[in-house]
Amino acid sequence: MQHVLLYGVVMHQAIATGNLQEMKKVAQQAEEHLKEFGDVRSSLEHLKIEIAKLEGKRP
Amino acid sequence: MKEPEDKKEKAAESKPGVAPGKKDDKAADAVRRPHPEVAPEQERYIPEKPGTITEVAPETRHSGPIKEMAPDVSKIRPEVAPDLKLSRPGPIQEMAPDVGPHIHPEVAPEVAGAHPGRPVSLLYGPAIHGAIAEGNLARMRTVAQQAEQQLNQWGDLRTALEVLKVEIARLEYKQRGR
Repeated sequence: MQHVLLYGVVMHQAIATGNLQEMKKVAQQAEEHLKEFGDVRSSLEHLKIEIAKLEGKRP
Repeated sequence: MKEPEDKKEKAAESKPGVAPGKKDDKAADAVRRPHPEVAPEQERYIPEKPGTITEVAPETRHSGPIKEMAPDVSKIRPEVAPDLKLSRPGPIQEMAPDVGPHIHPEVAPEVAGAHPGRPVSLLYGPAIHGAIAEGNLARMRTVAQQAEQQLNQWGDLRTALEVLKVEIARLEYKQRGR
């Protein structure tokens, strides 16, 4: 499978085209991408919590 | 002791009867004139100064994939590399499967240097969770900063996907109504 890196901008471009077929295709790719690589935003929140925990442990 | 560069240049210019740079220009002309049978498309382009293509388009000097972060490629003159311009993928849909998601600055520092200040590797959930598992606070802070930059630059995929789904539903509803 050819790997395509998807960004938010790609979604918005697909929306701007108004092409339903294209939009569905991009949505499917994004779903697969998230399934495979995870979501950066939620992972970042988790990371921040862990950083805060570690910082709290410091004397 | 070395003479300063500007003094050297002045000395060269002051030689009587010699047009400075004349010999070099002829030699350079011979080198830069493309052979019509070898590169007919290059006949149209004759650079003002002798040199390599990288001198004409210095932004292409960095080796490596065209990949996600090379917006400067658009500056390449079509006369110099017409097929490169035509074959270039769109600015967002990046297609560098072998380098994109898995390269880490620590693994490929030379790629990191090509774009200072930008997150070179694209961070994904597993990379972030890997940093958490490592438990190195400094490393975690770095990764967090990179993730923030990435989100600012490229947007959040999950949120954008939600917006896209809403738009799809809206279009489908419209089409059903017709």
